Amino acid sequence: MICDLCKKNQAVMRYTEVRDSRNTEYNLCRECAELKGLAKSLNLALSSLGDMLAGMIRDISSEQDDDNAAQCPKCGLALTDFKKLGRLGCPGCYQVFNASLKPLVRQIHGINDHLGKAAPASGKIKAAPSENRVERLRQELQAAVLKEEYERAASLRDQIRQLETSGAK
Amino acid sequence: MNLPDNGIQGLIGQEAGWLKTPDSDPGVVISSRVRLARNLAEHLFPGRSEQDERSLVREEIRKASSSVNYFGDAAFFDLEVLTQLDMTVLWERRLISSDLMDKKNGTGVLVGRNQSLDLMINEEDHIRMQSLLPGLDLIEAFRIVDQVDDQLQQRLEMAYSPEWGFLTCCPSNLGTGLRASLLIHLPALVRAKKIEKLLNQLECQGILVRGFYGEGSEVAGDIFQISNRATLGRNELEIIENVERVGRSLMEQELETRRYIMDRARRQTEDNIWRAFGILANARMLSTQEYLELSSSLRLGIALELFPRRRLNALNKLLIITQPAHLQIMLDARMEAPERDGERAKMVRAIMADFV
Repeated sequence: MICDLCKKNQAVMRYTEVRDSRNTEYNLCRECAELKGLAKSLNLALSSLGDMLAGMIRDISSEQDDDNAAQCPKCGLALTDFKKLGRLGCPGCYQVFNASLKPLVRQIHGINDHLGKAAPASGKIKAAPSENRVERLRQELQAAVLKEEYERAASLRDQIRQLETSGAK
Repeated sequence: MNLPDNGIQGLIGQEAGWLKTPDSDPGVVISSRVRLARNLAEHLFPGRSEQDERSLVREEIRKASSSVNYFGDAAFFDLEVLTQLDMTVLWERRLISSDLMDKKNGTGVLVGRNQSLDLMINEEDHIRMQSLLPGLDLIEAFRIVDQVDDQLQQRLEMAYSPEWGFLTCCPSNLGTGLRASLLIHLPALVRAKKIEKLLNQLECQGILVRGFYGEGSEVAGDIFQISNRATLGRNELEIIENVERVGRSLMEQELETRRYIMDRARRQTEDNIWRAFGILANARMLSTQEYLELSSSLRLGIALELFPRRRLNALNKLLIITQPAHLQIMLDARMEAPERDGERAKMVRAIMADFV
């Protein structure tokens, strides 16, 4: 979720401004929150995914003109229930409420596509992550050598060797 | 790798695998945890289903898990029949969430691999499995839990869509269903007042920061929990490597700051640590919070070689057994806070007697 003020950083908190008896809600990043004098104590830095989610769902509710009475045929959950609870009722809900969920999912994760492990029944082949990892470690090793961080380079070299031998077996 | 068959008492008697910090570990990252959320394709999510369906789901998962190698000798706890105190012990050992304690009906937890692997049934999702290891080792923690997932998926069809990956009750867990977290001890960064700035930067890197007990908890004993925010749109290793990279960088900055404060303020730092030791070795009453704060100084003292390295495991053990439910079960007595504070102090004094 992007900060409503600078439109640049990740927002980390929600803030309600009351002006002329009208409430305006913002999602703010740390820096903008500090500018507004909101983030002083250490406790504020602690994330609460639950609170943020509730805020995002409220946003979606106001933006979407969905039929709030829409109901999942399998579990009976109505879209209004989801907006209240922030939780879905069954796997089928994702299909039924797809249009309303899309913008929310994008807000939470920044993207709408699954790139991880696939379920076996889906027929997708699981990526071989170890190769990527060796490649990445090699790049880090190169960077470490350039920066003359030899201790780190040695440890990276060992990690690469270990991965390569375990992969060769 | 025997697991206790005598219930909660057995768990307490067995030292959890994730608390045994290897000697080579600098001791900044206390533990690494990777959890996966999964749901069975054919059932309503636990929050939406009736008790009968939840019990059915629980049986299906238990049956499937009996063929998972790592769960060969697992202990199963049915939360419906546990007392509140027993459940709190599971929570204090990080084996279950407080959410699971509230739900009870049709829920359970499987505990295996010296308490470093466990699977909660019918929490928010049908399956929440986690692997917990000492030190900084998210890759290995993931490897273990990924294998469990593979084996479960041979027997159970999980809710999955090509677009959104594994489907979870809350959209914030969609996709990989993976949360990788590190419990990290940063006393020098706290003392040098560098911590706020550092942690605030983390939020921008897609990292969540929480206190000792996870979501909604306060920071205690200079221990922080960091984890990934997004679960969708990256593959598992990218998520893990990001958290690991951030953890490693925090660890390096912590170690550098330790060198710095020992260089510039050695006397004050040592004085502070020895005073903490003085209180712990002599106090007649200690609250959980005070114990956490003071033991943070001892943990730092071990890293700065004021105390023998082998005492780290004693501190890890105390971290768990000084908690309220553990105290009461171990002493087999129901106690109010002041009495617990007295017993806690006694327990800590006994360890401090040969700590130096």
